[in-house]
Amino acid sequence: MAISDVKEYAHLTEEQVEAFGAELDQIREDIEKSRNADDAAYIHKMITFQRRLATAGRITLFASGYKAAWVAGTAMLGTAKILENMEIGHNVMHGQWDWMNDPEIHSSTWEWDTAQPAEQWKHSHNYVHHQFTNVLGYDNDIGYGILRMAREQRWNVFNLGQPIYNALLALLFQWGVALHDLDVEAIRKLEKDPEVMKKQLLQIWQKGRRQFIKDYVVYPALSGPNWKSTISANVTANLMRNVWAYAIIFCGHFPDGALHFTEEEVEDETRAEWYLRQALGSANFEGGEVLHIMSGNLGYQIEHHLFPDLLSNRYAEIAERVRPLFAEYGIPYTTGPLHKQYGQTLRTIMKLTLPNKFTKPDREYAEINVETPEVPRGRKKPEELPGKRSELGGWSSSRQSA
Amino acid sequence: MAPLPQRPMHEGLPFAVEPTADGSPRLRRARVTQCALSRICGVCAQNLERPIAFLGDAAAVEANSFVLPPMHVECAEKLVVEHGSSWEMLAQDGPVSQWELVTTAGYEYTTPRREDSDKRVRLTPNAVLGRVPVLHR
Repeated sequence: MAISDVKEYAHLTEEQVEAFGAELDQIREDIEKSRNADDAAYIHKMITFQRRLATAGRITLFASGYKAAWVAGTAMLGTAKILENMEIGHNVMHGQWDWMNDPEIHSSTWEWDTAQPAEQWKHSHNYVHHQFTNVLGYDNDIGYGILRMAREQRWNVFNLGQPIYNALLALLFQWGVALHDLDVEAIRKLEKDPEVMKKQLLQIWQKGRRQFIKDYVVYPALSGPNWKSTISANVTANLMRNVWAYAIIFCGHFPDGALHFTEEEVEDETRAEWYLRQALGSANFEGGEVLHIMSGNLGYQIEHHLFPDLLSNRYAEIAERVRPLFAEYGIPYTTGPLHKQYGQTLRTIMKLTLPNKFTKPDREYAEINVETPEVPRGRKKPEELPGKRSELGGWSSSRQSA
Repeated sequence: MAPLPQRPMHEGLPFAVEPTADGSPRLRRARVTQCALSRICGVCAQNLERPIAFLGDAAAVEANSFVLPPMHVECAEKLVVEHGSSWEMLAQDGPVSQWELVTTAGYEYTTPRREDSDKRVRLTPNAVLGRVPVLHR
């Protein structure tokens, strides 16, 4: 089932939920007030390191005809791409570093080393995914429009191919993400705003072309006689980044403890209830500092979803306060080793290849015997939603004074 | 709380403003959220640029807490000229003569708590670069 009332699921009273929210507000305030020069030095050092690594990789690949140079150059370039996408690009575009007033390291100017245009990422990720996290029919990150990731998602014969789609999504992840904000389902149903679609397609074409020319024309050409091996190295570096980013992102919301929600849950949600939904819909993984940096600190996915625009280098510190708070309120803190989290995710993908009658649920709430209606694929349109919602209403000064 | 359209749908109105059921346009909270998180301008719905502009009355400036979405500086100026007289539509507590334009590099986004009687979302500049009364611009 999907959760339609997180307070009831978490066995918390309204007052407890609000108190939980107030504690999280305090953590947020403390971190905001303590942002300092050390944080700024961290991101500057990270960017400098990433750029030097990318440069070293590119230069090494000029000699990619030698096997050792191919291996070393590919490893450096792939690692640099991972760092740029995960720890730098993703977090800069959340606005985590805007407070520095650095014209380059800013959410409005950063363009990352992947096929999706930054502007579209900020809509599909910062807004749609973070605002509607794990809400069925809203959050397109639940299976990226091609995988069935929840039992409540209606099964159809297309899902039999999930193992293949999953492998293709992992290998071609940057291109899957590039198409993410297009909402292919809406295009298929001829419901997409043609002007927005035209603008998005143009942006994707321009960005994709730039990425392609950089990796598969310019740098191979600079390698002279080694152009073929430089192409294969660049393909491999992009594959490294694709598979890694896919694995990290899927481990954030699909291990067994991470829950899905219905649209009823988000209706008239308070700030504290929003916190609670983020807490229950996200999953961490454990590991050392290098693993966390390589994953953009998304091993602290719970903390990231509670505070998407707080500094990634502070998530470990935040987790030290968040985890005891979860224990105090009896809220599950889903975490485990990366291999376990991915294993559970992969098992879900494989199981949901088949209709529900052939499989049993693995999630904790499976014990609760409640039938949840299936939801169709694709995002919901505004006009399909119930009309009366304070969230959608206009504010007026008379309401405030009432 | 559905994902919203990505361009202005009502000609002449800022992106964050929509007609209500009775036909009168009002600042729409969900649009403010969309602008704040997608980091787009609340007037033209295009990608924000640095510096980011906020408009509010003296109280909002003093509290460093704004209800209008982030904007381009040029769009904020346009909003004052074209819609400054419709301050209630823009969920402001006073006329444009009391407003100031604040520029910032970044901002925090917060939603109301259960006990808050004012259910507007709030934007808090966290790297203020300047402030100036709008009528002096």
